[in-house]
This record gives sequence, C-alpha cells and structure tokens, in this order.
Amino acid sequence: MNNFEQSLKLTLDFFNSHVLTKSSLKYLGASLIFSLLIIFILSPKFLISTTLLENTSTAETQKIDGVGGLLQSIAGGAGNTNFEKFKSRLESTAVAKRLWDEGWGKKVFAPGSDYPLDGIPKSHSMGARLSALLLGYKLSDTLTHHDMKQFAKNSVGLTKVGRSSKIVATMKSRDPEFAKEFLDALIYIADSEAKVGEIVLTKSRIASLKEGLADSKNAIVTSGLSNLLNSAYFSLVTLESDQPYFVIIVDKANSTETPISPNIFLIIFANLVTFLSLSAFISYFRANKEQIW
Amino acid sequence: MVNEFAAWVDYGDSYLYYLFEFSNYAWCILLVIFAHHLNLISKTALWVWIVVFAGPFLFNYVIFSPTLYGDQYIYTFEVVERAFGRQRIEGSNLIGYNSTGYLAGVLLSYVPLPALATLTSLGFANRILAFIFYIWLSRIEYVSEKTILGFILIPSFILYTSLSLREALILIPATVILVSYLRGKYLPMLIMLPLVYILKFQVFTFIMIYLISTMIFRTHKSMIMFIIFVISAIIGLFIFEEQVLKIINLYRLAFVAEDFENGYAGFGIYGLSNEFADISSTLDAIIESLKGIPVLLFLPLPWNWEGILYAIQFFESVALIIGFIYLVKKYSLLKVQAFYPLVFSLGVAFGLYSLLVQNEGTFVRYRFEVVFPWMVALYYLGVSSAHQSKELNKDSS
Repeated sequence: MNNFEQSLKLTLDFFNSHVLTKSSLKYLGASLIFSLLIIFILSPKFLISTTLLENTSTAETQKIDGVGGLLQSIAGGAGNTNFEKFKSRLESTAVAKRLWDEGWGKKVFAPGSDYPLDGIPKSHSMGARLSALLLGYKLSDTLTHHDMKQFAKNSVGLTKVGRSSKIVATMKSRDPEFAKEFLDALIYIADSEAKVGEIVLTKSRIASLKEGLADSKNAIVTSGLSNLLNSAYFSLVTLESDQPYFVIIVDKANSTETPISPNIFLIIFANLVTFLSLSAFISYFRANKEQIW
Repeated sequence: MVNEFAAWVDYGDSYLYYLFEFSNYAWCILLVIFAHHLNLISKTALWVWIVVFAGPFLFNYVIFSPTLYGDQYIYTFEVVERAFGRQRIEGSNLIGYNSTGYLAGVLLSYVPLPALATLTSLGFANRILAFIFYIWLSRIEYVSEKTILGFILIPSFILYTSLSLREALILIPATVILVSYLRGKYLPMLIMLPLVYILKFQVFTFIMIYLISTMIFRTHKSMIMFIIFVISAIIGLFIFEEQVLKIINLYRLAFVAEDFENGYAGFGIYGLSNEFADISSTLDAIIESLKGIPVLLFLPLPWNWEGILYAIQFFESVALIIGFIYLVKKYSLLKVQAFYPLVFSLGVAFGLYSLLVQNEGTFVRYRFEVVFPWMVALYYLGVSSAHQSKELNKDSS
C-alpha cells in the first residue's frame, strides 16, 4: 500500500470512527438545542446609522495666500481636523452632561419608570463593591451624567470612510425608534458643544489679532493679520448660527429593516462545529487513551 | 467561510464572541486530532498544539486592546470585504496599490474557518497556517521534533501567529525559502519568493542577498569567494552611496514620523527635533549601524518597558542570543562554510534595521521576522552538516 492509499484509508477510518458516528448525532442534537436556547435568550438588535459629511469648507480651513496663509497654518494647527474635534466632543463629559440635563438619562437607563432624573438607582458589580470596600471609597447610589458618557462611548461608533469626508455614525439597539432619536440628538449636541469651544477660541483669536494689528508696523504683516481677522470674524458668524458647523448631516438616523444581530444561522453553524469537534475529540480520546495520555 | 452568506457584525463586544471563537478553536482541535490520527504529529505535539491553539484567546481583549496592533483591522476587513465580493480599498491589486493588504487578505481568506466574527478570528487562521508549517518542518530530514516544537513555542511566534496580522505570512514563507534552499529543493522556494516580495520587501531583500551570494559568488563553498563578496558589497555601497543613503534617510525619517503621537499627522504639526540628522556618508552609516546593532539585539530595553509583554520580549531576545551561540557551538558552525553567507545576510538585516529603529514595538516585530527564519535555517544547516560529517567519517573509516 503506497502513502496516498494509506493516508486515504486513515482519513476514512477517522471520519467513520470518530466523526460520522451515532454519538455525533446526539451531539448535533444537543448543539441544536443549545443554539435555540441562545437564540431565545438573545434579543434582536437593529443597526441604526446616520451619514454625515465632514465640513471641510468652514472659514478656518479656507487657505489664505501669502503671509496670512503662513500665519494661519502656524496658528491653526493643521493636525486637528473637524472630524477629530467632533469625535472628541462626542465622547466628552460636556456632551454627556447636556444629554443628561435634557432628560436622556431617564430614556436610556429607566424608560417608563417613575424615578426622578437624579434618582435612578445604580447597580454595582461584586468586583466594584469589593474594591470600594477594600480601598475605602463610596460608590454612587444613583446614575449620573458619567454613566451617560460611558453609554455614549460604548454604544456609538463614529468612523470616517477612507480619505473621503464621509462619516458614518452607528449604534446597535433593541429599540430602533429610541436609538434613532438618541443618535440624532447626540450628533446635534456634540456639534453644538464643539461650537461652544470653538467660539471661545475664535473670540480669543480675534482679540489677539486686534492686538497684533495695533502693534504691527510692517505693511505685509498688517495685511496678513487683517486677512486673518476677516476670516476669524467670518468663522464666528458661521459658528453662532443654528446650523451644524463641524459636520453636514446628509442622512438622518435610520434603522435596518431586520435585526442584524444575532445571526441565527451563524450561531447554529458555530455550535454544530463546536459540538461535532467535541464529540470527535471525546471519541478519539476514548479510543486512543493508552497512546495519547 | 460561512460569513459569505451572513452580514458582518463585529461581535467583539458581546458574549457571542466566546461562542464564535470557541467554534474556531474546536475546529482547530479537530484538525490536531486528525493530524495525530494520520501520524503527522506525535503525542507530545498533540497536547502542545491543543494548548497553543488557544493563543488567540489570550491576547486581544485580554492582555491588550486589539488597537495595540491596529493592523489587525486592516487584514480582518480585507478578508471580510472579499467575503462580500468587494475590496477594502478600490483598485487594490497584486502589483500596485495596497498590494500587501490585498495579498494578505487573499491568502487568509482561503484558510477554512467556521466563523469570522471578531477581530480575533483571523488569529485562528494564522494558527492553522503555523500548524501546517510545523507539520512540514518537523517531518523534514535530520531535524528533531522537540527542537521544532521549541521554535514554535517562542513567545513572539505564538504572539504574532495568534493575532490577525500578516506576520505568519512572512515568517512561514521566509523560513520555507531558506530551509528549502539549504535542502536543495527549489520548487517551494520559487513559490514562496513572490509572496515575501509582496508581503515584506525588506525580508525579500535580505533573502536575495543570501541567494545571490551563494548562487553567483558560491560563498557557501569558498571562504575566498565569501571575502570577495563582502568586499564587493562594501565597494558597491560606496559607489552607490548617494542612492543608498537617500533610501536609508527617507526610511529613517518615515519611522521618526510614524513614532510621533498621532503618527504622520503629529509629525506634520511638531516637525523634527534638532537631534535628528541625516546620515551623510557610507562610513557614517556603517559606524552608526555597528553602534545600533547591540541595542536592536536586546530590544525592548528595560527602561522602555511598558508592560509584561515588553519584559517577555526582552528575555526572549536574551534567550534567542543564547540559542544562537548554542547552535553555533553545538554544530561547530564556524567550521561550516555555508554558515558565513547565512550569517552575513542576517547581519545586513540587523545593520539596516539598527539605522532605522525608532519605535520598540515595530522593530521587535521587524527583528523577529528575520531572526526566526534565519535561526531555523541555521539549525537545519547545523543538523544537516553534522549528519554529513558523520557520513563522511563512516565512509573514511
């Protein structure tokens, strides 16, 4: 018998003795029951997404020629794109605090309950309780805007598509209507909070530019600073309007028609593989106990 | 993969992570017992592989966040997009744009896995490749199975082949090329060379230095030819000084930029410090690399440690150096002419990397991509030459 024939014989022998056996059928049955159990336990989750465009045409990002351009590039900090500013705000405490103050805490953590906003009870894990006991600090009994911050950070994903200005914000939720509302509110508040910071920065920049202009004795520098001052005033006007500044909302939050998770076929298939492998392993171990132990 | 028929959702943040990844692990165990049944692996190897196949569970989400090795997202999405008949980056192909990501995606997508559901899944694909590689390596002539098991138990080998990276696709073909060449079997070498060319051009270059030195200069047969080759290489460096230094300085700058906080964007803001200077002559480059090699050998140095992983990698570096010395002594490799071109190409790799080193994490990885294949090749050279000496002694007596 040559090597190929021997390998083929061993392969067939392996499948007949350890994979395609009666006990494997039992394991397959168990895997189906286990899969159904998991599927019943899990609740369907929908994917809610919204499409945004990074606003790259704001006054600050418009290039100014000559000395003004040079001064602008030094002052502006080319690394901080509007996307980065917006993303940082989205995960900030200030945004979470505003969401909390607008009543989102109750909608997120205790929908339909009678708890007051600052009285929603907070449960703690055993580990957290033990840490608090050992280290001697007190755990908060009620939920606060810090929990809202964590919720927003954990449940909302913000990704920029390649080098384009397209941004997609996504969220998985059991309740698509709530999630759509929440995602839209979060984006609007994050943008307006980012605007608050930018307004303060632009105002201080205007004050500095005015001082610079008053001290300037060089005509080229004066011209450059004037251009920058115009640009800063234009930014301020745009920032103070009601419209989103850092992002343009292309498509408001919408949900998938059917749940994207859990994928029942994937669960059934994964469990089939696990149980079949387990069955083969046990069968192989029993048959070759002497050799492999 | 089953995902071809299912929408992609990253289950990394849910308990389903364990369900899907456990099915991948169970599938790997089935492969191990099947290999044992076919007598491809021994009893010891059976148990070792049952344990090391669990490697992917240990790293992502447990020891570190998957973002520590951010490339994992690239290769996972390359495979996921292929499953849906799309491309991660439009226009990717084998010879042009994004060739590395594209080829890694193609190769990893052909490794059968029950579920590609999280960032950890491709770690199991890499482990399967490592397992096949182990079977091949442990069955070639002269080698001892225990030593090969020792190689696959090197912590860095377990780490890089348990993540969704392309390292397994570099380490394995590079080792196959060197060992196949030493065995005089050229077909596997010719198949693997294009892969290494696309996936890691630097490693391809170091391999080519070895192949050219032995094929054209016959440095593995004659010490005089080896000396001529080394002198020619040094003269070549001086003749093409401008071109060589241009490339080295460009890469030095690129690695400095990459090491900035926020990468190239951060570099764009802060720019270069006064401490950084271009290498201006070949002599400077040689002196700098000689000074840098000891540092590169022991990376990550204790004062740069940022966690347990760094400490393990440092002690691994020390162990590998001891292992190298042990191999040289045990098999009297200094008396084997073929040892010199092999070590010379390894030295060139170290010399070049020592000029570029900026970031510990990146260069520990780069270093391992050359150390592992060359160590296995040195081991094979040692055992095969020892066997040949025995045969010669038998014949003469």
